[in-house]
Amino acid sequence: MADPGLLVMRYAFPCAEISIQLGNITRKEYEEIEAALLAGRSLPQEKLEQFFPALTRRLKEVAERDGLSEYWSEDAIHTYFLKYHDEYIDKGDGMLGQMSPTEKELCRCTIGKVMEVKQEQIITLKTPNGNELVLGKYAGNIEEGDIVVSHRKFATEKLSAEQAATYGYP
Amino acid sequence: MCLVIPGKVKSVAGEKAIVDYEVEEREVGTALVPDVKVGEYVLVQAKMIVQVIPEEEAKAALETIKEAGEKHG
Repeated sequence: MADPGLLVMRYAFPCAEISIQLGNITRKEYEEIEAALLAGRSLPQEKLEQFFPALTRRLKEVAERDGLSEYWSEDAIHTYFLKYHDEYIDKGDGMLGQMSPTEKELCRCTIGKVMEVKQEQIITLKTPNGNELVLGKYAGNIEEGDIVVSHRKFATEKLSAEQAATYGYP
Repeated sequence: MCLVIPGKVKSVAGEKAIVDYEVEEREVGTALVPDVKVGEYVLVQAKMIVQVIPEEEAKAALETIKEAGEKHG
């Protein structure tokens, strides 16, 4: 099982600059998250819940909705980002309602297959909607042929073929 | 509006660009959007351009941010 804290950081980091604007984190804390991500280690749950309160609330909501025993778990994180995230975007929950149409599309999570990994871990991802370039450096070791999730053009994690199929990847 | 504040591309050289945020300029990477052009409005995350956005969306976002700043400033 994946470390839930690390998964939260990988999915939430693309939004972390927004968290600075909202006053939920400082620039120093942002840098702390980035350094931990690059080192592949998580920060304490309590700290992450404080940094990302809206995400924490949504994890609790989807865990309750789907009868999951733990909101701070790989299951709940997948259930939120890969099953209900688009629904939250479309209904404009919280700050998600303030995104422009282009940013809403950027915010949706996409599952794709890694076709190429270039310098600086720039990945060509083949998705059902075509190829896109995403940044792989925060998601650990990503290789050609892996199936990965991208959120706001950042790769977040590798999925098994079985996991990907669960969330609609053909 | 946008959650990420849009900036306007001032110059592009290789895989770097200078993005103008009115109050400051920032050097960012273009590797995720290699065909980005001077004059386009963009969203940046972790010092990388991740998305070009239509000018009207960017201007609407900047206007909203400016109004919010005036209300709270």
